[in-house]
Amino acid sequence: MLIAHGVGSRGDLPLPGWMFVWGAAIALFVSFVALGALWKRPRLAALAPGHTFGIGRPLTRTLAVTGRIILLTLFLMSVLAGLFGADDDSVSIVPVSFYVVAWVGAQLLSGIMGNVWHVVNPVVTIARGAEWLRGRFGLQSIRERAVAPPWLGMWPAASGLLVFLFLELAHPSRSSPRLLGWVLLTHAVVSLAMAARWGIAWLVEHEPFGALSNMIAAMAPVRVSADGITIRAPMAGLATMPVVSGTAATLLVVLGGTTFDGFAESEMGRSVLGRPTGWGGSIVLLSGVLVSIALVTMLFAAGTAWIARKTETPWRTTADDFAPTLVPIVFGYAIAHYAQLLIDETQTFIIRLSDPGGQGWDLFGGAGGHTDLTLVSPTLTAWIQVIAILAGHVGGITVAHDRSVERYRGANAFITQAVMLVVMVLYSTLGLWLLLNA
Amino acid sequence: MQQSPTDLRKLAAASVIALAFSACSSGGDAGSPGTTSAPPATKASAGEEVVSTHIDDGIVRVAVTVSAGAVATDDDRVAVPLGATIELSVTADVDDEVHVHGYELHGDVTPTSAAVITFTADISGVFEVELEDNDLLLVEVEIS
Repeated sequence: MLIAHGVGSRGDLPLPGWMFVWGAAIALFVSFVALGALWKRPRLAALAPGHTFGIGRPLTRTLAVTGRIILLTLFLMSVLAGLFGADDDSVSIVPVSFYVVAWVGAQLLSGIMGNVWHVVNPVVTIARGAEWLRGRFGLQSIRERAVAPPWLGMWPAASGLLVFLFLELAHPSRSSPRLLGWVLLTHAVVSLAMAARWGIAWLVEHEPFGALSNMIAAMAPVRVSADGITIRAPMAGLATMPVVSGTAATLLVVLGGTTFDGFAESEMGRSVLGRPTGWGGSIVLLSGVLVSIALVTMLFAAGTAWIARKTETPWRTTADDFAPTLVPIVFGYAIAHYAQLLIDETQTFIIRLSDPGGQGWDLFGGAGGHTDLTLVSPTLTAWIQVIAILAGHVGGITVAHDRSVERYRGANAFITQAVMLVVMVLYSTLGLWLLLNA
Repeated sequence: MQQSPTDLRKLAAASVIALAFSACSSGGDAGSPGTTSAPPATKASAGEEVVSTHIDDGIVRVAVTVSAGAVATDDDRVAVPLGATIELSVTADVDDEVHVHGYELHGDVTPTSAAVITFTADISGVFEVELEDNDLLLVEVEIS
């Protein structure tokens, strides 16, 4: 994503050709090995609980409170800087905290540290604060209210993320601090209204970014609880991840969005799309996002439909069964796609903390600093990209394999995972190919 | 909700078409990474924007001539090795500012004087060179 002046102002270099060739070859090879050599009985679900290291409630509580205070402060600061600071993306912290910290950073955190986002999510903190106040004044607790109706499924998350993708990839003023300040505020108000109606569980399970980080957290090797830290095999949580209507759609929306962004920034994307500006360009870009989502969805739909037909299972069931296999693919491609941005703009974020609104402040003495674009060599960035895609691929096929032997026996188990392996190889090759053509 | 086999067959067919489409486009563009590494010759496809590159005394000279309102062709990407010296000269028929993103270099251009920006390509990546007020992409510099 090329956000704007001074943020994400550098485009990714194309992946070296030999890395593409080796990456694709390894993806294929690993897939065939998985087909023949992995376990014959499901194992991941048994590994999902993991081992919990109790570190004591006082320590977990201190860590949680510290995290909440930091994130709540950053959130309020970003809203204020957006609404009242300079509406200039080359100095304001808002585009950086919005796209880099809250969007990419929260995904990275969830993939590594598990469900930590729900502990520190500032909107959840505000909701908990409101509930505490209600308790103080003897008002009815929002927890006693009805839960969200099941038919909603994950569709609010899928549609909310689609709106976000429009903002990120197609809106003409996508980096305006003023606009993003209003978006942050509106999103918080709408989320809190939903929480008032359907409980804090809405924020944890249904709010779009919460729902996505929940899905990504399922693959993480770490989980946190009030008692301590749980360590488990990576991907194991995906075997027990709850799947409802719209779960696969949510993941495919995100995958389609990242895929389109990768395409749009490539040289070939430039020649196809030109350089769309204004609201006319916005329509072109939104159409591109939708086509991209449709393409990645068709691939998943075709794979699961094939499995449904071969195993005489309802399509709905096979699509739900294999939805968790998309999580590592989505995460791996997101990391590969945003690696350079994350490395560059985390520095920008720290620099701009000293002057969040771009008004000439210098809170921590960092104002006027420069982002070091030579911090990480292009070779290391390329390695991070290839490893992220391959790790996502290995994760996806592992979960697909486990799910196949869990649901099916004999020849059906073999056919099922063979079909999913083809789907995964195509996703991973597409990801690598977009990096090659960056 | 059970899908009928016919529906599934249609869906599979649609997906095959989609895959074929993406495979075709990948085949067609397979040569593009190679072409980026060769210095592009003088181009005047739109008749309004002209980008020319030549290497001279170890300096990569990129000359861009542009009329305001010209629709950028956007397939102009100049590959430059890391560490080289780039001399970017922009001639335009308007008053504007040339901006090299990432390097954060600026130069004023007027109808009577070109903007000439000379710098060492010491940061790797793909960088846009833009005609700021007209929001026009002039050229992308790929430094690796």
